[in-house]
Amino acid sequence: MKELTKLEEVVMIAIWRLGDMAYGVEIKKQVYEILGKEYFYNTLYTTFDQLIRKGFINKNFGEPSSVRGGKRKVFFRMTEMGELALEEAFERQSRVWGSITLDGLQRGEL
Amino acid sequence: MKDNKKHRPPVMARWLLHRMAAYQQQYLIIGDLDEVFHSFRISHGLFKARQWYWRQTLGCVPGYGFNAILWRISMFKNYIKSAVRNLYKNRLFATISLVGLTLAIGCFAVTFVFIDTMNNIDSYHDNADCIYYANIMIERDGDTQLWGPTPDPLGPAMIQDIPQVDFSTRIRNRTGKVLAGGKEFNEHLAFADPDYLNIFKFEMIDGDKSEFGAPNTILINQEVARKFFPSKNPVGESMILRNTNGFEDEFTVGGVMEQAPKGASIQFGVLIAYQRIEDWEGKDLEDWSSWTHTFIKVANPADIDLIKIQLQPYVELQNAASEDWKIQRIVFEEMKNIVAKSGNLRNSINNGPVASSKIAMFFFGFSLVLMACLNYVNIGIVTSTRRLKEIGIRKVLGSNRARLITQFISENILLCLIGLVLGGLLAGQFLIPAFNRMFGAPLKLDLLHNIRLWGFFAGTLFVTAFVSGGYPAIFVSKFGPADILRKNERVGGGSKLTRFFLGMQIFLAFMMLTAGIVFVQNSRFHKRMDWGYNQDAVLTVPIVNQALYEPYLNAVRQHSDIVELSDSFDHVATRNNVDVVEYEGKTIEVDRLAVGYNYLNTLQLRLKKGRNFNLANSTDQDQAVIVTEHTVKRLQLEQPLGTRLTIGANDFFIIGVVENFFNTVFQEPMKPLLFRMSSPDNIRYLSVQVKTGTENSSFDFLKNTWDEMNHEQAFRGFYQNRVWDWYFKDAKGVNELSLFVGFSALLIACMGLFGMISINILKRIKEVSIRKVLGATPRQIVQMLNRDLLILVGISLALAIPCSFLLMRTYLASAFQGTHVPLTAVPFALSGSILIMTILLTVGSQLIKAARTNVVNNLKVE
Repeated sequence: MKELTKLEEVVMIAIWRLGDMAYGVEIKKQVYEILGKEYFYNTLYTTFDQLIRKGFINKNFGEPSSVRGGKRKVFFRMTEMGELALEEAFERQSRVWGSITLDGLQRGEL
Repeated sequence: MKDNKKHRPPVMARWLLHRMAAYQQQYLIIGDLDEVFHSFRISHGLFKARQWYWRQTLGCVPGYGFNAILWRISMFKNYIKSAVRNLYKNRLFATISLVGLTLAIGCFAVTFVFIDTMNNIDSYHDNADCIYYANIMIERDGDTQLWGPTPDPLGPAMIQDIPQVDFSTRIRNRTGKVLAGGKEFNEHLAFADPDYLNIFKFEMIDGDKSEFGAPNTILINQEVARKFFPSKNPVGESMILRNTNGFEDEFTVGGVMEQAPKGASIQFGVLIAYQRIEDWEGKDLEDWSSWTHTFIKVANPADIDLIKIQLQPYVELQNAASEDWKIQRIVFEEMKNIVAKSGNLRNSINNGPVASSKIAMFFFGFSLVLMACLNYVNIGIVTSTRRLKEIGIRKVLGSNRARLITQFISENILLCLIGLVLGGLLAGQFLIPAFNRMFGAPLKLDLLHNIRLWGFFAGTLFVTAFVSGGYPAIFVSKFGPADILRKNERVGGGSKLTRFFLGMQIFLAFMMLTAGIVFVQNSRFHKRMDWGYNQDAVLTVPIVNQALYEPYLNAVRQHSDIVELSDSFDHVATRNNVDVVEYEGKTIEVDRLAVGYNYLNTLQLRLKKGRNFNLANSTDQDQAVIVTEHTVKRLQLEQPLGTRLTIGANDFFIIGVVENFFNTVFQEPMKPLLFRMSSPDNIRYLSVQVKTGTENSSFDFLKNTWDEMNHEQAFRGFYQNRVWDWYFKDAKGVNELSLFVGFSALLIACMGLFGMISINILKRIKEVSIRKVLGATPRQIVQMLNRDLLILVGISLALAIPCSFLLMRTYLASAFQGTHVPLTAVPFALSGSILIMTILLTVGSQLIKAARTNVVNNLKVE
């Protein structure tokens, strides 16, 4: 299975958290909340495309609205493969860090 | 709605997003941005919202920009890939285009390098813009002439009086004998002021620059150093310089300098302090009527106008000193333009190549490239019509016209790039060395240092790829897919445009071939023509030492094969002076030959009227002149014999008129000329007329006699019929070059025809097959396919013959003002038949193949 990059991981978490409400604007906000860093839309949408290509998310069109200049919203939803990938990312993360604590890191002990 | 409009996001930002993002992304991004924009506007106000929108948009720029570049590159890679495949598929036609392009670009590169080198030969000096060559303007025969030589005292006077002139030097180039290390050679001596080294760039290899200027110190260049002192350091060695006037002195080598580039205006073998010209030639350097070359260097090129207005006093001084050679004005030529403008400047320090030869060369090179491009356009159009289906399908699959054009052009760029590289290699490895061998030119294809060369290659690439490849691309990409796929579009080899281009190629090839043949004919004509005297029977020996003349003469006189002999001061086609002749208020310049009394008989110059010089007649020595028929015509004399001409302060009378002969080379217009008697104690040449058939044995006799009597100087005698050998050598180069270009043109045109005819046959193969089935003989088939071609060749030749006749007539008349071969039908007939023969040979095989084609194979496909 393909692995996730750091940004993809964060975007996946944001989509997972948002559930049915996951679309561009909200995902951007979530990413900002998680990382404290603002990404521009082109980066985010390129990541979405990448995730769709990997088969981790899919997209559904919503209704057009006037606030969006008559354009439809696009909602992203995690696929089963995406869930698996996220779980694996979590497991890998835990394996990497294991029992290391911040306290231990600062003191230079295991 | 008005209110609503105001609340919209910034139009420009949105446009930017439209331009940058891929279609699906932009739809979503703009939607998201608009949504946030609206909530932002409500909470923070319009201005803040707009600011935000802009920031978001601009934030996307770097990412998208990078993406775009990435995609372009990978797309270009694909274009190249498909280009390579297509070229391979059409390899016959690609090869035809490529060979033509290579040849043409190679030749064009040589012309460019030649013209570029010649025009920039003097630019290598430091601050070349600040160096100026002083010239004078003179009014003569009603027109203004520009001359290179300036009065001797001008340079020092300018340095003294004009603050803007930083440095100035006078230069006189002479040839003299140099003896050192037991060796003896004739060397190029330059006499110059010490500022010479401040003005011109010469790297010091050994020794000390400051040594220069002392009367007995010389600087030598590398080549001279190597010649005389191959194994030791020349600095401090002594060299003896000697001339025919009796000058001889010992000099010490103060340093060795780098050699100036070949063809540069400022050259020397041995550099000597200027004041030594006084005893070298007995010249008075304070004399305003003695001539030299003057160069100055200023701090700021803008000052030159300021300097010009301060020169009037010198003009007056000169006019007072020289009665018959009054200058009008002193002007300056920029150092780097000396060669480019040498056409207008008489007696320039560096004459460079003639302007007409530069134009002719450029014309040749450019025509070749034009022909190759036309080939290319033709083949491009026809081969791409074979790809119509590909184009149709591409269009159906969403490719737009711009993309198709891009693809065609990248194929062209690829091909032209290969042609350019091959052409460059051809020029650098083969053509330029050959050119240098032929003309002794210093050309090189120096891509490292010559930025103009890059410009040239870029320009050539642009022109060949875009101009010639652009047309077929635009032409083919315009068809609609439906038409193509339904086979409604009928285009191809028969179109008027391709025929026109082919005709043009034949036209140009004919012109160039004819030019080559006429050039060859012309120099052969010059070699064989009557030069106005019996050039084949005359041998001439330059006399170096006056004291040895008498014994040598007496020894030579004994030889039975020598029919006539004469001494002289000047010699036909070798050396003459200029007299200013006044006749009834008219002043003309006349070439003057001072000769012994028997000179006309010796050379067999043909006396038309009057008599020869007579030793018994005492007034002949100082008062008699013999003029040419041309002089009579110029002076409009009805009764030339006995006419009084004033030369300087003396009166002369015409005692005879000789037929015109060639004293100047054939390119130059004939000049008026007169003979005067030379003084018997100033002899520089001994000419002898020998019996026909004994030229070589007599020459050996003259040489052996000389060597027996004179151990000091080498024998420098020559055959009179070789005096123009330098011209014939140059002409031979030009002839070979133009024949090469002519045949290259023929090759390119034939390849174009070959491509054309092959495509035509391919297109009509079914027609041919059906005709055969219905009983057409191979001969009828060939005739049918040939008809178009013959009409095309016929029309092109019908146009080319008068055009090339006019062109050749104009060229010959302007480039060979002395005399040239009369234009006959021969070169036209010759090049016409060569052209037709080659064309028939080229297309013949294709035609026969078509005529013998197996009908079944061609028809069974459907």
